[in-house]
Amino acid sequence: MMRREQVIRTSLFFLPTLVFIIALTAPGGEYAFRTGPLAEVSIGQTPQYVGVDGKALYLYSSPYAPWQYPGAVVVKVFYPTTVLVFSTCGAVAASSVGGQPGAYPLDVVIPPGFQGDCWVNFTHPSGWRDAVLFRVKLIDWYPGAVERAVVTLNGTGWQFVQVGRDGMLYIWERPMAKSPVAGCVFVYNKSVLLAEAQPYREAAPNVIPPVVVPSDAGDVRHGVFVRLAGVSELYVYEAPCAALKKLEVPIPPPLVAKMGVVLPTPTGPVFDAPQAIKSTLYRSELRSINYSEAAARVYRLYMYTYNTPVGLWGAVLRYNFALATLLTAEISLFKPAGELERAGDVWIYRVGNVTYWIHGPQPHRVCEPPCGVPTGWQSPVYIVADPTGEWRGWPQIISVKREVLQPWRP
Amino acid sequence: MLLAVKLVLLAVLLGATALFATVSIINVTYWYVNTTAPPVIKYVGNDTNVMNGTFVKADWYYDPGTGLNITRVYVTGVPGDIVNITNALRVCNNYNVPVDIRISDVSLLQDYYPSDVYVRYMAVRLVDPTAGDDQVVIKDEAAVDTTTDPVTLAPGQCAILGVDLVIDANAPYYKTLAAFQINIEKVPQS
Repeated sequence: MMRREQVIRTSLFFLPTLVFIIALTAPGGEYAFRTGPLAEVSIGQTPQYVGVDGKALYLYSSPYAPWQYPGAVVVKVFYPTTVLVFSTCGAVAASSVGGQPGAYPLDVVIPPGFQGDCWVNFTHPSGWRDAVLFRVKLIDWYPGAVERAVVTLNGTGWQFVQVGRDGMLYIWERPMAKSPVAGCVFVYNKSVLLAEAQPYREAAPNVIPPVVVPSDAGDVRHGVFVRLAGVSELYVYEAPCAALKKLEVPIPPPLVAKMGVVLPTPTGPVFDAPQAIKSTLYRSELRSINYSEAAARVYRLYMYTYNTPVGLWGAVLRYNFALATLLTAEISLFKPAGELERAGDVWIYRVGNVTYWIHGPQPHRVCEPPCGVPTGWQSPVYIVADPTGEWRGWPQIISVKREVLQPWRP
Repeated sequence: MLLAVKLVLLAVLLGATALFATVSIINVTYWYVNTTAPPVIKYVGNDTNVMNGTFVKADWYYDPGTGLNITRVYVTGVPGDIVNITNALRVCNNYNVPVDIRISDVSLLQDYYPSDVYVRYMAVRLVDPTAGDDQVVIKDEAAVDTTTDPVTLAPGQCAILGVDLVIDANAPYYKTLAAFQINIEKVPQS
């Protein structure tokens, strides 16, 4: 029989102590006597291509890399406790969230190639539980990109494709089309291509259109090599660029060619050949580029030659002639040797086993009757030298389209 | 044998447009030196249109590459003889202000027989009006005097240019031997 004092003592001492002990040992600590849920799981920030249906997310996965959805799920914890997280596809790196009350955004990463349903379960020892469903579809798309440019090319052999910051699409340095997406991730034939980032700047100020040459700083063009065999598609994504180790590419071979114009002088005609005054070697991730400036009596030549890892090499020549009322009998912008042939919109020289493909003004001509020495900036001369015998000229750009990734629903 | 030929063949207009004294304008001419067989008749004096332009004729062409109008003058010498052409080219002032012109920048552009020196002497002269140094001289296919002194042309006045030519006696007949660029320059008014 409990005596009356014992009852009073128990009431006054033991019961408050019990309550205190429960409060201390409860998972919610001082929150033990709060009402309401332990935590709440909701959908956070998602890109526009993610479909949301209640607590189900319609996500994409890519064959190329993990697809990250930062902050796609938010866990609001109302108690100073941690909630355990487990996903059935390894989409969430964290095994628990919480600690202190607050909102915890979770980064979701869908592994490459995953397809199907993926549950993310949130549990707590108290018995509280919640879950989010990811319905994942595998698509041929570089992860994280909202849009892409689809460039349809028709050609043969190795092509060097660049996209400038303004979206200008260059093939072997020659501007050929405008891409709606300027990016540095290129996908071709189900592979992500190694890309270079090479800055270009104006060689001479205030020239319209600008004369741009490779440099160590300036507007970056991203370039890749693709090997064409007929019609195929190249995708350009705007996504974070991958860092690439520089390949060991030998310096470009010297440009052995007759370059200049014949000028009249009191004692007879002279050939005004360029004298190099400046030369710089740049190494991009994929090429070695030799930029040089040369001066002659009536012109200045800005040129760069570049070597590639695919056996071909190229050059771009920009002549700036002074305003001179001199007559000439020969204008040779580029004449390595051999006879000049015309094939469509390009000029061809065949010297030994090397074929020079040239796009631009007529590379060599003899003036009969004499013509005036050219004046001002001449159109660029784009040269591709092919010792492999496999190249068949610049490819044809059939179309350039923009595609935007849309949310999917089953 | 001395052959003196005086010809008036073509009026070539000098494109002198600028009114500012610091502007100079260059009119490009291109002179071919040709050869012909000796004529049977000796021409002297003020003949015009001699032998239908056998000894000097001129035309012009447009060079689309540079936009230049180039006057092309063909002067024909007789190997072994001295040819004086006293009216090869006329350069007229079409403006209502006086202009100063001179012959300048004589240079050899094409030598069709580089191993031989056939053009022994060629002088392009300002026949009327004349200046202190009134001729440019090419000797043995090299220009030795490349500029004349300027002459002033009153509005509407024409300058008459003449040529003296000595072709080596060993030169082939009916051939073009060499071609010279000679500029007629409107110089800033002094």
